Amino acid sequence: MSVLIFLLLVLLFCVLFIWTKILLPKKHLRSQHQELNAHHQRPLTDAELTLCRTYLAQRQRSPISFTERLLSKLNLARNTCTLRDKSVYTLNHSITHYSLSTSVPELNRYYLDAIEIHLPPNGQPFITADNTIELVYTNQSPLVITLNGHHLLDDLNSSSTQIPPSTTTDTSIRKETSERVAILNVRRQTVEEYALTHANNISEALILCCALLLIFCSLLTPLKFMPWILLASFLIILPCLWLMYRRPPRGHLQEIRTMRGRLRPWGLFGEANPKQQNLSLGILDLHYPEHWYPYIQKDIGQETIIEVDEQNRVVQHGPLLSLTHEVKKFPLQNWRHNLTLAVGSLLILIMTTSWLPTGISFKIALARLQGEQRVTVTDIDQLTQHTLHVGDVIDIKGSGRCIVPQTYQSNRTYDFLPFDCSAIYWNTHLSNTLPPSPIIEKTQALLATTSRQLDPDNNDLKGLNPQLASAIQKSGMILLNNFSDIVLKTAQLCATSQDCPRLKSALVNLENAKDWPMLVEQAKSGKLDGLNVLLRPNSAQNLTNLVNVATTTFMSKETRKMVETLSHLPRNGYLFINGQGQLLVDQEQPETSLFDLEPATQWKELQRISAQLLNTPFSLSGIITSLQRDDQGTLHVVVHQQPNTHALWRYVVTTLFLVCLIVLIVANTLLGIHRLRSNFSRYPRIKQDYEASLSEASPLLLRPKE
Amino acid sequence: CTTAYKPVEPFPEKNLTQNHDRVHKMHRASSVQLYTDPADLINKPFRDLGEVSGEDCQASIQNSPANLSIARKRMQLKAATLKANAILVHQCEVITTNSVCYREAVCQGSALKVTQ
Repeated sequence: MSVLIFLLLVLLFCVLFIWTKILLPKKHLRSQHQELNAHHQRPLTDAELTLCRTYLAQRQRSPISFTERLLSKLNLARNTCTLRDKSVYTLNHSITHYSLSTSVPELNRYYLDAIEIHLPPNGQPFITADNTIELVYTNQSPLVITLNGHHLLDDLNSSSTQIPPSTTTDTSIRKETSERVAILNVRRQTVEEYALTHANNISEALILCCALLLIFCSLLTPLKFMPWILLASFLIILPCLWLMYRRPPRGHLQEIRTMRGRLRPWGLFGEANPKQQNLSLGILDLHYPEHWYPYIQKDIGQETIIEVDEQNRVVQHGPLLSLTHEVKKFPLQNWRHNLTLAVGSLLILIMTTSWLPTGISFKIALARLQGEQRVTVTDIDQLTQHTLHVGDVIDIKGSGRCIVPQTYQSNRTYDFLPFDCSAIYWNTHLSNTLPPSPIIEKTQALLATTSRQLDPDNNDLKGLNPQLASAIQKSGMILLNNFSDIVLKTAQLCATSQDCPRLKSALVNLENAKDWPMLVEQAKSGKLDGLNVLLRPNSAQNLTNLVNVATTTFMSKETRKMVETLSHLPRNGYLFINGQGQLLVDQEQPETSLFDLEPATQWKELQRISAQLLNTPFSLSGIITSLQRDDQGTLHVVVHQQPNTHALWRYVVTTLFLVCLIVLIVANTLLGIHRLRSNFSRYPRIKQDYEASLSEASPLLLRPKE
Repeated sequence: CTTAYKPVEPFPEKNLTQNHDRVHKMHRASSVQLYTDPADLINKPFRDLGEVSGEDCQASIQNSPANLSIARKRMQLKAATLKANAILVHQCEVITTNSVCYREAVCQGSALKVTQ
């Protein structure tokens, strides 16, 4: 079972990896390609391929500090710009150019509508109103290799101008008199802005749950695998915790652009619906946080300074509205993370408690810590002088009685049915014979008389004259020479009128009597004495079957009643139960289980096995894990095998794992609820803060910086 | 000549009883059912009253031949005396014996009391 869960976990990781690393990028590329609407495609030539690779390698910025070099090695795949596929796509499109600084060409930004493209620095002079562009896809933004017939990479290569890697981020603001949008600055995301984009992230919580599941699996596996699986789970937990609490590396922080321009609403009929207001700056469709809409109405149509990320989400508007400020003052409440972890831990706790003997582990681990009492007895009187406690080690040899359980568990096998010799009742004066059963005696009497008279092999004809006897014998007929005895024995067994109807009517027909009571009356009055009834062999067989059916019904009922009687233990005494279901007696096991036998023979087998197990020698040693006295005064003592060192370690690990799960559930539930409530009140508090700031702020502050 | 007139006398008692006996015997004999096959006794619970037999002796060659039906009748009579109402006939045959009879018809059976 645990191996299955382990494989499922590995499968889950593979699916997540394929989805994030392969399928999502492809999906993003397809949507980008559809938007560009290329009208021609051709494969890259080898020369072009080499030029592209050389150019992309040169563009790669060399990390300066030691940690940057270390992290860049870790995120090599993410930082390196590489070709997505080896095709060149040709399209016609206008290029929107945002020039940040003339002195640092690579800080210019070029867009085909909303898609950013990378234009080599020497391509800017060739931009016209409508351009013929040849581009290739990379894992970042598409790279333009030919613009209006000019092969940019060739020109770059021949002029061998080395592209100066940007070391500084100096910015300059170009004075724009017309309506054009200007990029004032480009910076990296703050930690708070980064946190906002991962506000509802529960992947770490899911990974932690998978690690806990792995620990649960380790408790199911043999002890030699347990340490390795535990190690694997800790190797998942530690990096995950590090990921949760570390500062996001620079490579993960998006670029934030500070832009100045006139905010324009582009709603279809110009109606300004504050709930879903659509604003744009130049050609950029902006995505504002909803709770900012009330505060930006006055800036619509005005010259405004905003900061947007790569998805055109506004992170700062004017001097006041700032997501970084919000997160700093009103920290994010990722309650989903906590509740996911709490629910996951709860599920694993339920699985643990249902599949593992957690109660036992807890008690044995506790007993070992507190030190235990050793009780060795061979006589019940010795035992009564001891006061037993959970955790005590007992060693008992004596003679007791296997119990007959009230209900049988489907997942166990019982070698001495109906007895369960993994539990022994110990008391003084135990009898080893079944209590007498009148019904069984009557049944056996009827069976005896009928089998004596109906058995074709030794049909008793002594009561007849020799000639008659030989004539009957020759004819092959069967003679009932004591019909009266059969009637009387049947009457004793089938006392009520509903009992044995078919047998009674057969006997009535054989004697041509009026009805059964009359026949019984005759038998009792002796009128049937000496009467012989002659039967054909098949009639004799039918009568035998009728008698068997009648007696079987009574014997089955009586056997079950007797088993029911045996399931009730005498008062007081001790009931020792082996918690692992192991036998406490050393007796020869019956080949056929009682209830698989013919009903007629079940009673004899029950008698035989009772004689064997109602007072049988037993031996029991182990650690007490449960003590309970029932209403009959019998002390139920559940005993488990004394754990060897390995088993003890398993119990201790199980107990620690349980405690850890409980702590995780309680802590994360409380934290999750607290964060959920804080999350609900977060936006109202942010709004109050903004309103307070707006009421205090002077108009000067609200005007954009010149 | 005068004839002496005697009043009508009832039959002599002795003759009546003799007839009565003979008729009664005939009746009792015929009330004993004869069975030849034990299967006939199916569904007829019975009591065994013992073996019975009947003989008819042909003293010498000149005498009338031994008669089986007479032998059978005599067997039935014996059974009747045992209060039997049936006989399971085992065998009826004419045998040559070297005793008194030149030939003898012998019938053997078991006298049974069948409950009705």
